[in-house]
Amino acid sequence: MLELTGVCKFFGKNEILKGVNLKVDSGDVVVILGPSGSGKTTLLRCINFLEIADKGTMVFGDKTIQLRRAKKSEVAFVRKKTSFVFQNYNLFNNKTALENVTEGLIYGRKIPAKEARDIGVKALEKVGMLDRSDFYPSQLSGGQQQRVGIARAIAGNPDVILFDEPTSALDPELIGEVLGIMKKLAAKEGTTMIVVTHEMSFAQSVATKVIFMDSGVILEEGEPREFFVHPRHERTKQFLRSILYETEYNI
Amino acid sequence: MFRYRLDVAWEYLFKLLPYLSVTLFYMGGALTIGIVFGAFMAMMKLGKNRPLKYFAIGYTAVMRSLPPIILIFLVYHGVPLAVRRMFQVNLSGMNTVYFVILALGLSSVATLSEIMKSAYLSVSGGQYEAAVSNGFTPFQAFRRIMFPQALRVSIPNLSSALIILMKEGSLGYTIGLIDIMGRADLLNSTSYGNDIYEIFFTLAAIYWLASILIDGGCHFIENRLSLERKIELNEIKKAGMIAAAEQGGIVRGS
Amino acid sequence: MVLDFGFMKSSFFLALRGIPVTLFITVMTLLISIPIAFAIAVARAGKKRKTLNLLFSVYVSAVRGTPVIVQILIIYTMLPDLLKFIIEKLALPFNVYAINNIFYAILIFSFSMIAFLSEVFRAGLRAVGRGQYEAALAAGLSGFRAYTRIIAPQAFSAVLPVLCTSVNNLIKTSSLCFAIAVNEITGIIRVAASRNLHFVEGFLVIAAIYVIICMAVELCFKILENKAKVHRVSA
Repeated sequence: MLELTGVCKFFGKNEILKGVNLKVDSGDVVVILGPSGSGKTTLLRCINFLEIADKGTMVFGDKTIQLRRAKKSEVAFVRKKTSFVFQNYNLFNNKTALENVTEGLIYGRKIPAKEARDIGVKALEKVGMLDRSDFYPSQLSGGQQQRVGIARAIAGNPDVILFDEPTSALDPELIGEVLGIMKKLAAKEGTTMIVVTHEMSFAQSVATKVIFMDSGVILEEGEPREFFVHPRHERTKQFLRSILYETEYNI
Repeated sequence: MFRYRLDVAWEYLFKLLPYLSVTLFYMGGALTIGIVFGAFMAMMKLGKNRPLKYFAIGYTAVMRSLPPIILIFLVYHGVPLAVRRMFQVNLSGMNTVYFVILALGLSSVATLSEIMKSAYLSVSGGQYEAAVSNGFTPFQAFRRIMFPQALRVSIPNLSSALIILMKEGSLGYTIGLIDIMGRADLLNSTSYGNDIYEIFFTLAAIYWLASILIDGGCHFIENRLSLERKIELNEIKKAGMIAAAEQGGIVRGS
Repeated sequence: MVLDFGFMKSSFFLALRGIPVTLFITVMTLLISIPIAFAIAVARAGKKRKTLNLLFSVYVSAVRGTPVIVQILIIYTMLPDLLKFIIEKLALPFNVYAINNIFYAILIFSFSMIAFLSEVFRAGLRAVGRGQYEAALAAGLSGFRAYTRIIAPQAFSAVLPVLCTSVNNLIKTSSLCFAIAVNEITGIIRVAASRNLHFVEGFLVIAAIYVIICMAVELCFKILENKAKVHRVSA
């Protein structure tokens, strides 16, 4: 459904992405792992043009788009078919939870207000935030805000949802509620997701494909069982070892 | 349309500059009054004495809402009247500049007390607690820990306040003060409005340059006081001591 | 101290006639300045506009560094000449000298307000943060909609306190347009007081009026700020 080829991105003199290829099929849950600075967030942001890649091609459905020279209509097309969940939630501070979900529907996807409201209510219900639909972000906890962020993302019925470290900014107790919703989306709704995260439990239990990135390239990819039990690259082994030590060290 | 003759402007520059000293004089005077009494007023605002606190807050609120020109007029007309009625002293011979200093001083007490209060509050109370728990007396804690940090924090606001003081003082020409603005006004009437552009553009340029210098000066002071610079100097000192030790010399003040 | 309270009372009612003028000047100036200043702030927030940024920095620095009275005198002298020049070139049937001084006052104050407000709005936009803009784009809103529905409202809420100070400063500065013969509060009282030399009483009345007006403005802003508290920008 979505395929990226040869994505390169420079920030000044730093080459952050050095020719990345990614293939995502419908229903896939792709988890991208890697140390910080490996370019995983940049890759994600290149997909919906929050960053403009310097080189590369995207095939989305039946359209082929040159990433560097993408036209406004092509960008709008991709943004209609994708949704983004941010690490810092980025809920619209001056809108209620429900309004946060409906803004994009009414003004981005040109859905009439009444229909948008119904969709919004359903989305909030799915993430368990319906009772707080007229609360403002400043009145919600981090976990609740991120759940609204996810509702905002699913309301548009996108082909792919992009998650940028959705739980990294949350208190440990709140991580579970967000991951739970993501797992439900993957299992029950069959949503196609590309997730950048450090949460190994999610990668192991929900992912259909795990990708390891380091220094701007994809070093290894495969199914979770293969990946975690029989990693091929030395660097991957190193990374997994350090992560596992972390989980064993919980004093 | 209008002409701006550079040679004439240049002449006027030198006719105006000597009177900059008057401007600087009342700026300094008002600033001194503002700092001294502003410090007291800040303490009133931060203290527990209710009547004093309300007085300070009310005074600041009134000064904040009063146009500076009205204050200048009030001081110029009102103070001699009051002094004559109360002390039977005739102030008619007093140089106008002192009225301007008084007026600007009254207003700057309000602004500076606000600046000092917020600077003091922005330095965290934890610093003070740590200081007194480790042997400092409250006065020492204030002098060595709170004050330097508060000073550093308030410098940008101080530079703004100084520039505003300079601009408000220009209104002194309405009561006859001959500072650069007053002189410019005089020169303009003596030239029957012919040289108006040369005079006032030059005047504006002088003010503009002065404001840039004040800003730059305060930036410079801020840099010298900054923590980064302290760390830098520390590194330099350490490097110096290491170099001296390697040469077998005696290390001073370690 | 013996003050002429009778004069104070009569000049108070006289001064009331000047209040509409002050309010008119203030409101018109704000109506012109706020949109333009906001547009400038947005334009400067974009990343790659070095010459534009430099130009505006110079403009803001000049307005900040020169006394308002000097700005008034310069622009008031220059503008009619400039207008006459344009009118003659375009051969318009317009009498420059018929323009009421009030409009010059509004233009002059807009000139300086735009400079100050653009800095205020720049700070406000910075406070809102790029994440809000990105989220809006990712949700499908166009740049324009993102600004009007998400960014601008938050920027406004964020700068309300500073905006209050700016409006009060404008009101105080408007007292200076007696210099160009505008019949606002200060001008009226000055004329009245010059007849019976009771300056102190007259100026006390003016002072009281300005203090009341400014405090009323502060009250309005406090109410607005309370309403906007819910839109508090989250960290």
